Amino acid sequence: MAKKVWKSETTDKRVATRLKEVETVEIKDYVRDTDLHGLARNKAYRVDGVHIYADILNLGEMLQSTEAEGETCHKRTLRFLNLHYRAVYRIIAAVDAIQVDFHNQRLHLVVAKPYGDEAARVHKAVAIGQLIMDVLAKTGEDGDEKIPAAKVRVGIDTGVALAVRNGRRGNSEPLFLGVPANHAAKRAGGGTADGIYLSNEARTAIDLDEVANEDTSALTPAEVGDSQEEAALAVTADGVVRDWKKDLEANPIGKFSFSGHTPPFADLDLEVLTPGNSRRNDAISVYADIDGFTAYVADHIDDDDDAVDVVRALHVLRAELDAVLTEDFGGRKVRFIGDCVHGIIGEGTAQTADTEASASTAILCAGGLRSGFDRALELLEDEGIDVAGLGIAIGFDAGPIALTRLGMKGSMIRCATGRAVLASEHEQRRCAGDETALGSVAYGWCSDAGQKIFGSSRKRSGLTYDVALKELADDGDATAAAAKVAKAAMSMSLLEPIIAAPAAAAPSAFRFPNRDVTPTKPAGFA
Amino acid sequence: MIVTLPPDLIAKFEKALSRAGTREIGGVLVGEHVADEEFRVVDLSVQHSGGTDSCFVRHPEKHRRFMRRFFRRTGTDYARFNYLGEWHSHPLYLAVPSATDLTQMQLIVEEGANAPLFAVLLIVRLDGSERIELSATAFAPGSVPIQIEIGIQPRPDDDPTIPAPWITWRWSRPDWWRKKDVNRRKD
Repeated sequence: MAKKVWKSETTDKRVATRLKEVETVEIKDYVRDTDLHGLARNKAYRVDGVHIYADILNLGEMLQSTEAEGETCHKRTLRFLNLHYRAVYRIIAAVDAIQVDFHNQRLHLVVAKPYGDEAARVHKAVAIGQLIMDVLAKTGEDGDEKIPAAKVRVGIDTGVALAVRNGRRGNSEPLFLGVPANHAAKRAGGGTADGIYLSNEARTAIDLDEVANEDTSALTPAEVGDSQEEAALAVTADGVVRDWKKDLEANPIGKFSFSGHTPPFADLDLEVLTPGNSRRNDAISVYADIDGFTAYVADHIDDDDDAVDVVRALHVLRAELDAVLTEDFGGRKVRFIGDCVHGIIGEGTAQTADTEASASTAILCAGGLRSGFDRALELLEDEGIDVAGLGIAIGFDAGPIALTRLGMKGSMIRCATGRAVLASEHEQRRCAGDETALGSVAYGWCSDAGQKIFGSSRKRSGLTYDVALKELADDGDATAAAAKVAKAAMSMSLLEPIIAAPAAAAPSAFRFPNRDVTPTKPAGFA
Repeated sequence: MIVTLPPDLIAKFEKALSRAGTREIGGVLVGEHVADEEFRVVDLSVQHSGGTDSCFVRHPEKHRRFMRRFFRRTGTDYARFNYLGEWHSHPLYLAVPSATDLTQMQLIVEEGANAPLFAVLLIVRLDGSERIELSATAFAPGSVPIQIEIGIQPRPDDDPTIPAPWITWRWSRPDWWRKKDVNRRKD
């Protein structure tokens, strides 16, 4: 059971181990047919490519399709995502693009070919974006559970990014760091209108005029048509949809079936989840995003020595965030999304969440993430690694969350969805690098002490572990009081006894009464 | 407050924990009130069932005989020898009490008229080099838990709590034994 304790000494040990793993780092330029899958953790490639982000705009509508956020709503949302993921897999395979990540409503692709011809790559990216929009407009379902077609907004940028290893075990995939990935994501998330939105860099590459506002200037049908003609993709939307239908008939999506997971979520093995073996709990979704990382990468990408710092810093910082979430607070990392970690945390039983304890644990965890991050930055600086300008923005919110894996057999990807997941990302986005915010549902779950920490703005700056622990415990929060005892007790061991904490119990209490006091009831420990 | 353990109980922990692997085990502690705030753990029971990787349930019926024998040995001198507390292992986690542990122990000292005036919780685990790590926390009604100091101290020479040695008899075949019983081993 996690102790809900963050200790500087623990971070020191973890960071030392992680640093050893990236003692030597190699930076290379991406050349023809380099396999970016299964990269070593101490190797990175500089990739000149076009980044495509495709956001499914109506995921939120799916999650709001029923008044209460019950199982039906989650089943429909997961089926909606699964149908569209499977269609997009067919597109990626047909157009020779690099699939980077699928995170709920967001798809990230990179077009690295044709080499040495940026304009051709941008044209190809526009054609792929339009193909995704056309295909997903036809991959809804009219059955008993009417699943709507997806409305898609595509963002595109071009430039040099750094590809590093993302993920562990067998499902390692490339992660692209840098301005083009970030700007493409911003264009995709920059509004609620569908269409294809290019950055001015991408527009310039295909001889289009720059625009004043990249987020409101979608490509016109004629401009898209020109790119489609230039790219001349070998597949059509009708062909992809036909293959998708055949595949669905041969391999139908299993029915979604949920059971609750008994916290802590650290015990949950996400790799065994399937639609028929999904989990659903009232829990807390946490997003922790490294603030300033895109600018940091942009400043360091050109020089090999500087780029080495990027790989080291990212490896150490992400590993520390994962360790704090999982090892120190019993949460479960769902995935890394670039320089951001998404996790789930909660307390209670498989059937009933202990809402107040969950919120208190999340507050302590948010404090631990910030303290672990700050300490890791200090240690990186001590090693001569430049980490100036980095901060961490943390957001969380609470509610029913469904956990499963979606996609094609053999390459299924983790998915955690629910209104709380979208809300927690929104909370994180309204934070600067020293701030922590929580959503209205999580605020309602908090003890009085928890609500006092965040106030009516539901946002707090400088919320480190020690601050969170002290403020919660001083105001009578039970979870924090237990964590305080655990923290003090953690310093004790047989070989290194320390002076006991001040005794609050009266000394006279320590005596045996003149009777047999053996307990007669079972006692449960964890 | 200080609680001491004799080396033979450390060995008993090591053996039991090593056998249990990643499963949590536990039991009850019995002790002697040595001085003002000094107690000595004189024996402990081991319950191998009731545990998983992350929890352990101590069942009272599995320790009843252990307690009965202990009180018989110590002459039911409850003010000196009595139930001291609980122990369990954290094979996969740090040797510190969890929130559940803290709540459970507080319940033990506060629930019912027969509750002890205080109780000690020992959490034990084997470290990477198979050595015992442990923490000790004391609980009393209406007070916050406090950490307590643990010491290793050999048993006194005249320790009255040591179980009497087993008495063995030499068995010899009686005259009426059937010497031609084919099912018996030949001499």
